[in-house]
Amino acid sequence: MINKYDVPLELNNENPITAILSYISPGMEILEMGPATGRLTRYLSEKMGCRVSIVEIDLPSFNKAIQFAEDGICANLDENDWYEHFCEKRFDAIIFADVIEHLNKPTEVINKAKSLLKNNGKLLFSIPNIAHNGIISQLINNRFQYTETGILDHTHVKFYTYYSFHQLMEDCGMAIFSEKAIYQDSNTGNWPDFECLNTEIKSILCNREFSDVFEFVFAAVTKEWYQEHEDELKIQRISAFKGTTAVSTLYFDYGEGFKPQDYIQSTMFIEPDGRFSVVFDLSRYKNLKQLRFDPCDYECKIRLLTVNGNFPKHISALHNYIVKNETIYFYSKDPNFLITDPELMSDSRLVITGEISKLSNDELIDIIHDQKAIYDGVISQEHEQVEKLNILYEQACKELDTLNNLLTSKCEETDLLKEEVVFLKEALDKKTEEVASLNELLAAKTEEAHDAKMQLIAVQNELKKLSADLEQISVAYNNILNSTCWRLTKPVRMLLDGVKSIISVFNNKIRRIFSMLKKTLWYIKHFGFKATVKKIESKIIRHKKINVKSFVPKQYNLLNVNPDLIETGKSVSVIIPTKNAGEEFGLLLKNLKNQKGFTEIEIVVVDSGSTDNTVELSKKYGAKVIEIRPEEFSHSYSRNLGVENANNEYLCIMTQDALPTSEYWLYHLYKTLNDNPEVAAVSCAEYCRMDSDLYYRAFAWNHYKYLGVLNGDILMSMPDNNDPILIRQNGQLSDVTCFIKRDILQKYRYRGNFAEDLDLGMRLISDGYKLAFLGNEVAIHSHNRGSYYYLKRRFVELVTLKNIFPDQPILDYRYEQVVKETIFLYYYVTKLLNEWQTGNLTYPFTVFREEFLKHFRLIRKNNFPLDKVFESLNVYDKVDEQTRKFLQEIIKQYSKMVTLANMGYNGVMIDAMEGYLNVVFDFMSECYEVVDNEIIAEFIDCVYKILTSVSGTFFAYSYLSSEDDRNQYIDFYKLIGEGV
Amino acid sequence: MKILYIVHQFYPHYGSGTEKVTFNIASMIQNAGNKVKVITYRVNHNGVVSGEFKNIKYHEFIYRKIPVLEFFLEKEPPKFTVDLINEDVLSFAKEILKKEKPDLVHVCHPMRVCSFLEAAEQMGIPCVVTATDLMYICPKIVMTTTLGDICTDALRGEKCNLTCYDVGNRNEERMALSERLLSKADSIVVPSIFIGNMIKKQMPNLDIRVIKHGMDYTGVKQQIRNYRLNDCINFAFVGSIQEHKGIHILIDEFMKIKANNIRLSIYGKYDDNFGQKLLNYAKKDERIRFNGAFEASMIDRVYEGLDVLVIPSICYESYSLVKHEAIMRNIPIIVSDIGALGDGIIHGVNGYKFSIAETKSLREIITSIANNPEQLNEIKKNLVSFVVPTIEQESFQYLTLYKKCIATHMKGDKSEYV
Repeated sequence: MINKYDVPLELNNENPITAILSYISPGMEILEMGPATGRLTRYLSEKMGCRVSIVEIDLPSFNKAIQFAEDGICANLDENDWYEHFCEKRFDAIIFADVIEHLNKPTEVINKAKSLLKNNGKLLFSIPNIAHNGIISQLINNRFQYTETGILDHTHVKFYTYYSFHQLMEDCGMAIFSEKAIYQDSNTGNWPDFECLNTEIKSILCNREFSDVFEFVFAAVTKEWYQEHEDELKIQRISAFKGTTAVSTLYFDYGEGFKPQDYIQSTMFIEPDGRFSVVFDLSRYKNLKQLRFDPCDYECKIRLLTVNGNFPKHISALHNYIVKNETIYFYSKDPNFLITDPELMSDSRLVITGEISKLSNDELIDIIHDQKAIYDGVISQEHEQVEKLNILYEQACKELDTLNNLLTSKCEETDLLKEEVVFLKEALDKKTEEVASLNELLAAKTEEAHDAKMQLIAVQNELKKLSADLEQISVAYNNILNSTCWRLTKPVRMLLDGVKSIISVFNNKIRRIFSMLKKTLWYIKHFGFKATVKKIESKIIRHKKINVKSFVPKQYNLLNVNPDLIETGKSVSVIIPTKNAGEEFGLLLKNLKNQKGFTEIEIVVVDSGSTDNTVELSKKYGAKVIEIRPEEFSHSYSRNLGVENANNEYLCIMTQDALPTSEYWLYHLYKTLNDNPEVAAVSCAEYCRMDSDLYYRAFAWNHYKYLGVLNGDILMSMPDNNDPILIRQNGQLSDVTCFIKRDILQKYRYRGNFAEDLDLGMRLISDGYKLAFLGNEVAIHSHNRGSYYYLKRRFVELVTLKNIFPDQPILDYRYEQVVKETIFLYYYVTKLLNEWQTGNLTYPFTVFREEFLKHFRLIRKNNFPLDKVFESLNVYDKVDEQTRKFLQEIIKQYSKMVTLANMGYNGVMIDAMEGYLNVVFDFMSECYEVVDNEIIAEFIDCVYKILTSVSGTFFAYSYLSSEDDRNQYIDFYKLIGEGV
Repeated sequence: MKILYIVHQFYPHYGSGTEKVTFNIASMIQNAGNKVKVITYRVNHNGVVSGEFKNIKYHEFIYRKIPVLEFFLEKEPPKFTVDLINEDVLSFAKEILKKEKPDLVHVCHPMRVCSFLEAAEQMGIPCVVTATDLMYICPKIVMTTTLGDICTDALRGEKCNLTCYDVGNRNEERMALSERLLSKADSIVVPSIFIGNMIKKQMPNLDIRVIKHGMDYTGVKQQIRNYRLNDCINFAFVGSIQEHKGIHILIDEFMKIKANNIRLSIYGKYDDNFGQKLLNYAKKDERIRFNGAFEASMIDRVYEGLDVLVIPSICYESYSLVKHEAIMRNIPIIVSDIGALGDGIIHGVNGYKFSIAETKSLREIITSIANNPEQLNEIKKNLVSFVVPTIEQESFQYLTLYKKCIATHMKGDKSEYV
């Protein structure tokens, strides 16, 4: 007898055996349950080199199969013999290929098999699916037909579905780690019961899980092994759907529209990835005009790919859909397309392919929301339209009302006009009467006029007589004017007129003359007669500005110039001495690197021991960095070192805290130098930064006003008279910016450690060069320094200038006097300033200036304060920390100097301070018409800087004028002379 | 020299871009030894009034050393903010100009106050006009139509009548008036090439110069950072969280990128509907963080923490302050390709540009940076040549311009009061 399961081993397609073999590795120890005649046994042992043992119930089959096995037993699996036979052995895999459904006690068998597994051994099953659509359709048709083989093999004693087998494994302590499915389509004709079902039921059945799975293949390991090795196992689950179907309907239109009875149906096959195809047989239908394709009866998204193999054309969605990314989303259960392509109507069949999937609830909600939004938009537009129409309607009504009112008023006007006509007619009658009476009056008046004419002729005769008299008088007057006597008295009369005009001029200028006289006497008193004469001389000369010329440089309007047009073909080296230049230094480097018009811009940084990122920043911007020790630094040495290391023809010496105004800045400086061959160097004025203080702004402004560059540029050269003050004025160069040719600077070099720029400038003009100082181009540069800095600065400045200009007049002042006056001024100025600090008032600037100076001048009438009262003022709050320490130090000396309460002020520092104040006031008058507390606060800060400046200047006088002081207070002078 | 600054609104009530620029220039010009005064409109009519002129009320005060005259119309006519000239304001302007006797009038924004420009021109006073935005050619200022579309060309007002029907149908006249006013000004300045080009498209005969807005560098640090492969990159958005700023595009594209080494920090108020919607949408991506608005004093710390700034605006930006705040700190930026955002940016050289018509290009840029952060080193190196001017540099350019305008103007017309 041939075993019905003795079927050929088919390895070329997907079937349960190939699926089981995919879990077997060569050389495995295998127990095969129910091998029939041993076709798989043979393959396993001969082809894969496995050691196979078998258990087979049918003896003839066993005898055949055992030839290929190492070991075996002919036994019933529901009994215990086989287990006893193999209980000492352990297997890598135990195969139940279509076996388990034949067993009465599957749980016991599986548990026994489980115990025969090696640690990582697995049980392999193939099982028919009782829930296949073919079986369900039989049941629907009230049939359950056993067969020779297949799912309803009459020898099957148990039936399994996907989930029931999973449960069986769970009950046996096994875990399925991999599963496969062998499908058989219900539509293939093998299942006539299915064919008979109506389309609705077919559709429901087809959409069930595993509905087309004919057989399952499971691989299971023990639960313990699974839990421990879950990460290593290749978990594989089958899809619940192999693919689905839907019933598609095609409606026909023969030219009279679509009718419910004119249709055919066909099954649409949908792959798991959503691709579908549906075929309609049109061979029996002729004269079709158009078709309607209803693909399914649920909400779906569809993309049509081909119609009869071609790109879909003349096909469009009909209702309830939106289109996104070429996909049509139908949000009703009746999706349909209209097909109008005439070529398709004559084809014998219609094949449509595409992609379809059901809309999820989320997608459906999204679409409904989108649609709602669109409709809301439409509704709101309609609403707006309605509102607009309402407005128009209201306007029209209003206009109508207006017109009605107008009509009414016109009617009223017409009535009034009628009344007026009647009235006028009456008036006309009256006027006619009046005209008659006036005619009578005219006749009377004509008579009167005749009388008046007669009188006029009489007056004219009288006038002729008077004219003759006047002529006689004129002749007499001319005789007098031409007489000798009148001519002789003319000078006396002219003198009298001149005296009158002189008196009026004198009245205007007399105050200024007195004021100058007073100043001159003061100067004679303190500096001597000779110095005074020199001062007056230089003032007169300076006013004339000898050898200083304004000029207009060419091509300065570069705001919108194409950078290519200003290419100079030259290279420039920018030299910057640095120390802890800070973050903003990067901005300077960036601006320099982006200057236009030059072939190369080399940056040479001479750094004297920065501890911040100055050196790193310089290197980042490609600068050449020369590092020197801090103690090596001097203004001249650093700059000269930079010059030695620079490579280009043109040099620009700058400070680390300056900034160009634009990308054409260097070009402007170059252009000035290049256009004026006699010019050796170009400097420019400063443009103060946003945070600069009033003191700095005012004195910078005053300096540039003095130079004459506030509104233009100047060229300076050596004054003819060699006046040192004029040389100083005309030798102005600025360390902030100095653009110069390399060969000139190499020749002259910088000298000294203070005012080295002025020194260079004076040497250049002495040798016949000219210097340009620009006001139209500037360098952005300023400081916001504390008051103590200015004390030191003024001290050093004056001492240095005296060295350069020995003729500079010096006031004879003593150290103690400066200490006394400094404290005096701090005390009374603070008192005065406190009065200006209250309230939130505004003052016209002119009033503020006048009032402040009036009260300031009164300060000199006070006595020196005793140190006790000094403590009552919060004077120290207004100055910086260093000034505070300085004041605290000198007040100790002051308390020893001033012991009496009635010592009157007798100094001149207050006059010097008024001079400084006037500079600041002059500057403020350029900026402010009205001042408020914020401006006054800035002014107050400025006043303290003026105080320290004056103090520094007078300490310099004491240092320069008294050798005793120099020796006695050597430490003090050293302290204030350092670090500027 | 005395300069009058004319601006649509001003401190202390308003302090956004144009007000800040006006204040900075006025302060600097005053510091340089000149008299200045700001004439502005008080939008909120409450508060102290110190004078009246016909139906206009005004008040004068000093704001941070700058004298300010603030006026308002008791009853504003319809379309007051759209129309350029108002007869009441015009007669008031003439009165004020007669009294103040300025050497030059600088109009910083025309809304509500453009009549001062007309008055100054009529009186022969030199005028400088700075067009900080597109109000001279667009009644809606932003060149966005009533339906929210971007407008590329107003067709001299003809198009406005059709697409912006809510601002009336006399836009051709408005454009002609605007052109007349601008052509009579002594100088027209714009902060960006983009604004200049947009105006020139409508008024090709105008001579327009660019002076970029200056920035305050106080406390600004150059960000020095060297990127290596696999570095984590913090992208950021800084600004108001509104739809036209394109933040939703950035979030959407960012979420599509599957890289673990990128973060997105969003700075700006997000408590309105749009912000909350975005917050919920971005919740599922842990790489995205909403940080809210920050105080002005925190700005340096915010920029210090980010690597790339993204400005994905889908409307025209006339001069993006955040763009320049990032560049002055040497921080690379990704910008959309409309408006002035792309001015000076060369894609892949000193920054990145993406097309708003194809937003996946934004995703591609971010992905490319995530895969190869080292490319930022080159961008940062090249960004060095992008100079953002300081406030001092900007104001000095204006000072030079004022002097030139006054000098050339005096050669021609004489003003009424000179």
